[in-house]
Amino acid sequence: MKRFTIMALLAVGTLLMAGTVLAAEATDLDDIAEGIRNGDIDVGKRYDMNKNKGRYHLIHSETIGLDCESCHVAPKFAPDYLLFNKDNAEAKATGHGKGPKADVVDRSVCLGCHKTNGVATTWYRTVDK
Amino acid sequence: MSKFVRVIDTKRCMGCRSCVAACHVENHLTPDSPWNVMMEYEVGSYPNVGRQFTTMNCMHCENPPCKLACDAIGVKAISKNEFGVVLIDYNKCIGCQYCVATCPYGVPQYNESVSNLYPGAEATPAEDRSKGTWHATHKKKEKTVQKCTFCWHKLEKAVEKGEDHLIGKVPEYTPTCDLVCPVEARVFGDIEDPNSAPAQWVGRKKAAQLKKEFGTRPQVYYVLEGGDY
Repeated sequence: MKRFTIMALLAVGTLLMAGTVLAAEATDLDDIAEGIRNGDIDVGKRYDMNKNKGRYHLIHSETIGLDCESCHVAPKFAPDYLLFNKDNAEAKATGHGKGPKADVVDRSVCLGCHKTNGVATTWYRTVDK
Repeated sequence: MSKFVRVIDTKRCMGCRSCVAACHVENHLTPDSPWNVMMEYEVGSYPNVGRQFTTMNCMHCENPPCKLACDAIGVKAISKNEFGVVLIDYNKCIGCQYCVATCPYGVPQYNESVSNLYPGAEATPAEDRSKGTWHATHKKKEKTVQKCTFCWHKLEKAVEKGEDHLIGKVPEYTPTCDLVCPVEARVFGDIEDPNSAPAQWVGRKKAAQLKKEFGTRPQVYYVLEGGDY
């Protein structure tokens, strides 16, 4: 009985800690997103895909701290995956195209933050307003 | 109010690419930036295998993420008109490619350069984009994004003449890709009209929108093996 109580307390403690960390991360991301939107966090004014100077990569890799593999994970898509520029993306990813690893992001990676009520600006209206 | 949709029956499509070729001719293809592509893949396992063909173009979403992204950064080059057609204004586009990054279907195509039909040769007279006869959607520019327009240059004529009730019913007011299919695997028309072919197909053939999880509500439906999901 005593062992069970200790284990239950440990489990509850672990869950609480994990919850606190997740909540803190969510709050941090909320703050970052809001900071970017209202200009408190400087990510430049260059709207393009340049991975060093463009806002797009500065926000995702520098400010939020995502590493390249967080998004550029799938240079090879499933055969039945319907993506208009799939062939082009795969050619680029394998170095046969114009640049390495361009265009190969599966947009489901973006969905987590950019959905309705997500922390980032809404691109995907998963719930109609 | 009319809502124009396209329905593509992948069970009928045999991958002949007539629609792709027709689009290339009608919309003056720039080679690195196609507006209509054919996806082809194998299904099943040996010996019970088959080949599946799916042609893709712009989905003209009701909630277009490309437009949301473009508006959010203040460029506002993408519009969605009252007929549901999503269009890009090449004169406003700054080539940031945010629309390319947000589209879950990978549709917008960044046009690095407008190359001639014959590489290394001068443009043919038919390619002279400076002529006034070219529609704005065909006057493609370098370092801008382009995509399928539902052949807006044809639909627009119907609207101008007050004949929008004929859109999708007569060839001159119907997207060219939908006219040339030899196996009638695609139809275009007003889904609000219960007697139209698209409305019939969506109901009877259980046509589905792709990637519903993104909440984009595409105006292109697909009849898929296995039905809706």
